[in-house]
Amino acid sequence: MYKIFFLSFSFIYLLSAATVEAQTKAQQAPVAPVDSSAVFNGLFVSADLAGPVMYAFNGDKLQTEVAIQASFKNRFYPVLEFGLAKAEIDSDEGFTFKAKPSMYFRTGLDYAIVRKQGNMFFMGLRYGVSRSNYDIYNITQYNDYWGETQVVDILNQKATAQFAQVVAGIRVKIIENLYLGWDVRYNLLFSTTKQPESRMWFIPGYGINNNNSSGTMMQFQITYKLPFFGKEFK
Amino acid sequence: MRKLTVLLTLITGCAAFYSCGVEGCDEPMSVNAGVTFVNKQTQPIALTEVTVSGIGAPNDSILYNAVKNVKSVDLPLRITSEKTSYVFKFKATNPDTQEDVYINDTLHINYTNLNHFISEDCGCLVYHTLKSLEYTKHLLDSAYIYQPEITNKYVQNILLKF
Repeated sequence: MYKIFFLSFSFIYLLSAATVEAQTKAQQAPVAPVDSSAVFNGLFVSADLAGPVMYAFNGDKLQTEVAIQASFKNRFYPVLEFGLAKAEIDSDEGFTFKAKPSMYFRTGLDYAIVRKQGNMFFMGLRYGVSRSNYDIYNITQYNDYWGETQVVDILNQKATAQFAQVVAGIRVKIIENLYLGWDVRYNLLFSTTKQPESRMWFIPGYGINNNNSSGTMMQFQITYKLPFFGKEFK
Repeated sequence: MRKLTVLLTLITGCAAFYSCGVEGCDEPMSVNAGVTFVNKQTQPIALTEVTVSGIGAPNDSILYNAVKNVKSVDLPLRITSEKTSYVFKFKATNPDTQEDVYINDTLHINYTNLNHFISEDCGCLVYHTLKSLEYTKHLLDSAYIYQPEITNKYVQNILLKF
């Protein structure tokens, strides 16, 4: 619930700040007219900072990615996202989950619901595909009735996942052509490869797959607008 | 004002990171062979009284102790072996004397084991695939494998016919 609160609060604050700023600037200097005839309005390259930062703190899961996004009519932002993920998680239960570095890919579209002064609030959709190779070591198994204990390894697991994400986020202009932003993503898992020995628990580009259920993830991006493509909205 | 907006964006985003993540285990964590009692027409029946014990189980090996009106039992299988044996003690009535008698039958279950990792919180289970059954026929007429795959989803795996 408080994720929604954070999102709503940020959105309202962003709008109010942008409005105040716009009013201030309107008193200071005339605003350049929007070029509404342009269809293509620029190309953006962004990198996710959340993954490396979280990895620096936790050191168990690394997910890092870059994205290329175009702007059409300053409203529609088709995007391609490429990432790399790995994991080495020592469980409280004593086993170690180790996923080798694996690639993932997402594509989709963002729609700018509100845009002002280079800032925007957007919503979008993603379709993602990822593959993972992983091993699980030192799994202790118990059988209470028979009083049995054994330690096993599950090795050479390979699986592919398909998923969707519903995205909502904000992007704020810092300086000319440079933006910061974050988004929250609601994950929907379509399918994973059925494997006899394991469920695909860690899905690159998606996160942790607990109980085959949906979940959320967040990203924090730094974005650079390539200066030689298109005109930015005002 | 722009700096403040950026700062708030950063703080809000970072704070919300900590709200992510689904924890806990919602999966059933027991893997048992579902054994159902049926009559000669393969219709489910309730037995008057049943006691079930695992052969070789430590300490108090009685899994079901004189349970009445039993239609089915769930039997945990050994994870370090591919054979598990149970003794069933049935209460029956002698048709000649109308006295209650107790009759024992033994069921040997042969199967293969398969480790199955679920998640960090749930851990790993051992699934089984039934291969064959051996049994005595004192009260029991026959035993059948109905569904060979034994997982954490409850199904009828074995039918004991009387």
